[in-house]
Amino acid sequence: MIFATLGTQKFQFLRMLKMIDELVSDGTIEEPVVAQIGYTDYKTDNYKCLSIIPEQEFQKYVAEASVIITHSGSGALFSSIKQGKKIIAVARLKKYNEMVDDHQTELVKKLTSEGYIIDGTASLREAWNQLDSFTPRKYDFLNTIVEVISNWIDNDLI
Amino acid sequence: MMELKTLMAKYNSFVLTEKQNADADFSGFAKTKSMYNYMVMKHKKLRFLKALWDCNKYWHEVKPKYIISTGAAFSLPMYIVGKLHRSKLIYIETRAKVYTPTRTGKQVSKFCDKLIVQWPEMLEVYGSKAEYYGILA
Repeated sequence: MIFATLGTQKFQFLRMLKMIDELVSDGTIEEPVVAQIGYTDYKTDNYKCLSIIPEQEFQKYVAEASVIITHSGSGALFSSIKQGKKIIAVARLKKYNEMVDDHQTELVKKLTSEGYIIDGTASLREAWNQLDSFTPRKYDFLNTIVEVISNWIDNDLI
Repeated sequence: MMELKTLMAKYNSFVLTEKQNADADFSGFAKTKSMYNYMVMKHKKLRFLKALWDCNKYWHEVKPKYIISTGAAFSLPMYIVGKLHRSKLIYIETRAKVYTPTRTGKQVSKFCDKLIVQWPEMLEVYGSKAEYYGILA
């Protein structure tokens, strides 16, 4: 199963869903697709669309999926990286009214250059073609913010 | 913010959140309060004033020693109110941006007590005040 997610932004993100539709239509994507499409209005016979789903269900889909196709929201990206998934991220762009600005491109650029994900912003097809040769980098982020803050508070360092 | 649950479990904590935030479930960790949806107000100055007013009311309900946020929404007014009442302000710049500052970050970095960034690239963006200890993920 391929899991696609658009997050819960109020902005429409048709471009990603259409790109998936094309790949399903021409047989490039053979596995069934489930898409969490949030507030985007989209109907297709090619795959199942869910609007907004509870966090647990979301994690279940991520866990079961062989590939995640996601908008470049940090929540979806990091939880998928944590589960060691092959991820294609598509940044929401301002010029298509998919977001108020282009900030999603920053995270895609960074995580792509570090080998965690594949960038599908320009072309989902090109990203899809890279999947077979792509081994995602394992979750290895430094994560000591909570410890540090805890230490500041306990020792009254601020 | 979900990544800060360990902090919330350790200290007496209160969470102020946006109403439409479907993901936020801090039950068992902290008392949660949803704020008014300020975005329905089109007039920006009025919106900011209302947020300041509400944040001030909330500050008196809770009297926090520390205020922690990753920005956006009403975090700027909350930090301003907190500063006036001498709460300690910890600002964590969002992990969603890597190379350029957020608007909230630019404002809050001028007066917060601690400025944490979540990418090494952001150390250069914010200069000597910024500290990097990894990412909340």
